[in-house]
Amino acid sequence: MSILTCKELTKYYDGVQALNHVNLELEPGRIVGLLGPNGSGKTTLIKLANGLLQPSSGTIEVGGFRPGRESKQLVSYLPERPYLSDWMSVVHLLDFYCDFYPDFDRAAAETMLTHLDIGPKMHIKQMSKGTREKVQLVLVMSRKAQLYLLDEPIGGVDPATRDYIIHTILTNYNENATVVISTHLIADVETILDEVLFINKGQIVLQSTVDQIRAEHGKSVDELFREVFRYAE
Amino acid sequence: MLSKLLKHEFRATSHIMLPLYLILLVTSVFTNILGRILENHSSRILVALNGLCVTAFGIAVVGVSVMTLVLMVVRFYKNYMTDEGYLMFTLPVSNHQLIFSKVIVSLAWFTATLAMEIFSVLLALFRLDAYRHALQEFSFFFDRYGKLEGNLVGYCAEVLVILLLSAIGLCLMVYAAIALGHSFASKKILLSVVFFFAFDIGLKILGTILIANSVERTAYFFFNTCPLADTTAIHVVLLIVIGVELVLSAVFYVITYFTLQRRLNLQ
Repeated sequence: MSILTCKELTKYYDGVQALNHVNLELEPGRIVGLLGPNGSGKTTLIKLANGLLQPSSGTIEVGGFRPGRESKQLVSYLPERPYLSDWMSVVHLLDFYCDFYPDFDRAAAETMLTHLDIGPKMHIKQMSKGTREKVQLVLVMSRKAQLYLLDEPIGGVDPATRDYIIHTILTNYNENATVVISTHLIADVETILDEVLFINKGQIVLQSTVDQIRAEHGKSVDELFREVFRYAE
Repeated sequence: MLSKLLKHEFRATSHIMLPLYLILLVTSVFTNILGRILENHSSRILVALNGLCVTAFGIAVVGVSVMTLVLMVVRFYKNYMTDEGYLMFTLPVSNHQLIFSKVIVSLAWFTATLAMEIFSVLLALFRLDAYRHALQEFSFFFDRYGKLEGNLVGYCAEVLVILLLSAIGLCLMVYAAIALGHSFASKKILLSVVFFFAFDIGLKILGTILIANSVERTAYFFFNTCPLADTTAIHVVLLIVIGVELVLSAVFYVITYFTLQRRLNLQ
């Protein structure tokens, strides 16, 4: 059974179409790149899967459930922006995730935070932007979820942090799960992807495995992306 | 899951409210001490200090009340409608639980603030003899009227329920306005304020129409033609008020719930 299913999924913002009749099925156990230029509909698709937006028409299901309490147990979501409250300390955050997510591995999170030299009493407001992003990633990847939805996890960070993030994703995700990484920085994630989705102007224009792209087009994903989206922006 | 939401909501709010209660208590204790000293000694410095202390206590009383209200509004807005909403609305909890957690915690702080303010005023004015006398008067009053009418406890309970429901209704009216305002693509805060005042004005108009049309007749019915005793009639009136408050709370709850459920628009 597919972990993420979209049928004729359409979303309008104030009359502007952000997603246009998207049909999509993602199988478990894959690392999927959701690739497209800015404003192509990547974030909208991820927010719809999380129930943060409501579809204008069509349906979206996670593990057979419409976005709701059941689907949210299956999804570990990293938003594109900082979402943690400033007043919270690391201990508060760990308590919070432990309380709400039975699949949260506190020991794994504590080990990762210790490696980052982030103490348990440190507050979010004391952290730099980069450190906050790392903490958010640690919390999200410490869950043994069925579907990880990572929205621009490597956008706006330095190359060293980028490497750390990719390493953290690869070493912590539940191997039976699907990881969706939304980004336009293809070269940095290409090596870890099993499958790619090209999205443009709210439509999925390509769904293929990385191996197929190399075999059929004789190109890397990055090269094909540049070719497909040459005139997109 | 509701208990976990409550636990974290109390955590998020107590670090603001508890220091405020401490300030309230400290200023009330100083007000009491300076008042006592002034009974036996008099100097300009002491009078000035006492004035400052009483002013600080007054500001603390008003400040704690205002902060309790502000916290009720801000926690719903910030925790659900800003970036923090990305975490809260992706928790495996229902929207009912999200709304209830905010209402229950706000009610708890309203009650705590009221209790702390009454306690701090009593503390600021504390004189053992005067209080002993007041307690005797109060117990005399309660014994006499509580027994004679047999309804004093009932009236008090009904008025308390009305106060409680009014507080719940206020919270839910604010939440409904914020939720509706934020379901639009732009000018979300402005629209929230507009919805709040629209609800408020709408309720006032409705209240005025109802009072103008029905109170006189209802009162006449209850106190002249109604077969019930006067005391029972008062209960009936209070129960009607409770019913109205319940209906209003339910309406604002439904608006908040369906807006979050069907029109959540975190952008």
